[in-house]
Amino acid sequence: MQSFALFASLIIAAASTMSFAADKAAIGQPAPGFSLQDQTGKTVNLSDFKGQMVVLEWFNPGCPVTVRHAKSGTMKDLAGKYKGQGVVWLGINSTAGADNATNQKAVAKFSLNYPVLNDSTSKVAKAYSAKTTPHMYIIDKSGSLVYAGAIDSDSSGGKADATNYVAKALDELLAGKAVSTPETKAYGCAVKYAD
Amino acid sequence: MVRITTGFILALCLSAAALAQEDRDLVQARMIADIAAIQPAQPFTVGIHFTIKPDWHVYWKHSGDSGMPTSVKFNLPKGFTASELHWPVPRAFSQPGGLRDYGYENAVVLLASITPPATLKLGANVTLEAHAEWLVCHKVCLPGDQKLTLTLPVGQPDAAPQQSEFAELVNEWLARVPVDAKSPSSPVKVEVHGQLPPGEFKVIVQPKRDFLRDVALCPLPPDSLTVGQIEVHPDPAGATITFKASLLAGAKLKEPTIPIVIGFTDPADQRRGVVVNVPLRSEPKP
Repeated sequence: MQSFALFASLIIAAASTMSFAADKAAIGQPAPGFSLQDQTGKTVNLSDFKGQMVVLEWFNPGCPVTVRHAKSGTMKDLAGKYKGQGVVWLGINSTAGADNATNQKAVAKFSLNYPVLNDSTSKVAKAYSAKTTPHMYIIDKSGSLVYAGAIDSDSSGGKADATNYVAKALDELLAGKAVSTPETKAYGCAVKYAD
Repeated sequence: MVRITTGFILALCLSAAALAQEDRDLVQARMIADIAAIQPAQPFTVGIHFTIKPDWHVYWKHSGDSGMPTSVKFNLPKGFTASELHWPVPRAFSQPGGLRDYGYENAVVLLASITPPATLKLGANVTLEAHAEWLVCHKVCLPGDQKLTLTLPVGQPDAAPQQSEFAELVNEWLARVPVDAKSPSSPVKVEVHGQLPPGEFKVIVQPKRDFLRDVALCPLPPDSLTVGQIEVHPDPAGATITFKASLLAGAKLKEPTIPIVIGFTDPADQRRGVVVNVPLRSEPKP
C-alpha cells in the first residue's frame, strides 16, 4: 500500500513538474532517445546503453562554469569512478554552430574521459528542456529519467561542503534505492539554442 | 589525438590574454556613497556602480533560468554594519529555447545602508571595502570580479549631513528599488489569484493614478519551485499577468508565499517596481 502511494505521488509530482513542455523529458518517464555523433564522428545512440545507467552532461567549452568543472575535474572524477560500476557518462554540446572539431578540441584540452556529442541543432536539448551548461540528467537501467538538475549545490564554486547531487543519486541507484532528490535547479550559462 | 603545436599553445595564450582585456572593458565597478563625510551612528547609503558594455548584461539576485547572481561582499571596519543589498528592479532577457533570465544592461547601482558606530574619531579617514563578483553575458559569458574601496573622512557629529557628488545618482537608483506593493508609497494596486496546486496564478496590476507601461514580472522562487509561462496582458491603465508555478519532482513546499517583483515604467518615464508576496495555498479551513 505504501509503495503504491509513493508511486502515485511520484507520478503526480512528475506530471506537475516540467509540465510546461508536453511530450518532453519528465522524471519517472522514459528518457527521450537520441542519435548523435561524438567528437570523432562516430554515431552514439542512447539505445546502445540499454540496461546501463547513463549520465548526460550538457557541455559548452565556451562557458566558464563548464570550464571551472572541467579544470577541477568534477565530471571526469565521477565518470572515471562510476565507469567501473557500468555507468556511462556522455557530454552533449547543443551550442548552435558547435561542430565535431570544437568538441574534439575540448576533449583534448581538458583530457576528458568521456565523449562529447554534437547536438548543434539543439534538438536533444529541446527534448530534455536543457537550460544550462552544465545541466545533468541520470537515466536508470530501465531507461527512465530519474534525476534532472544541477551537478551540485555549489553554483558559485566556493562552498566547502557542497552536496554532489549526481554522485548521491548514483550511489542510491547502485544500492537499489530510489533517488531521494530527483530534481534540483541547474546552474550555469544558458544553453545557446539554435534559433 | 590532437597534435599540440607551438602555434596551438600560442593561440590559446593569446586568446586568453585577449579575453582578460575584453573582460575589463565589459564591466567596470566602483563604490560610491551619498555622503561626503561619515557621522557617528548616522546611516548612509553606499552604492556599487556597475558600468556594462552595451549588449552585455549582469544578473539580478535571482538570475532566472541561467546565469549567476551578481554578488557584493562588504568588508567594513569594526563597528560598521551593512544592510542586505537592495536590488533595483531588473529587466527580463529572453533567449532562444524559451530561456528567461533577469538582470541589468548598461548600468546598475546596487545599494546598501551602512550604519557607523556611535563613536568615531573626528577627522579620521574610514576605508570601506567590498568585493564584487559577477557573470557578464551576451553571446558568451565571462566571469569577473573587482575589489573596491571607498575612503571617507569622519565629519562633525551634529552638523547637517554633507551630500556627496554621487547623492543624485544614488537617489536615482534608490527610486528603482521595488517597494512593498501594500505600502502607502506604492504607486500601484496589486490583486493576486491562484493557488498551488494546480499552480496557475493571475496578478492584476493597476496604477493608483494615470497609467503604466512595459509591465514585467520577475519572480523570486525558492529552490523547491519553478515559475514559468509568464504572460503579460497589457490593458489601458496597467496589466494582467499570468504565470505557472510548480514544485520540483520530489520537493516539498516549505514556503507559504513566493515573492514576485513587478516592474513598470511610470507616467514620469521612470522605471519602478513593487514586491508582492503571492500566497501559494488558500487559508486552511478552521
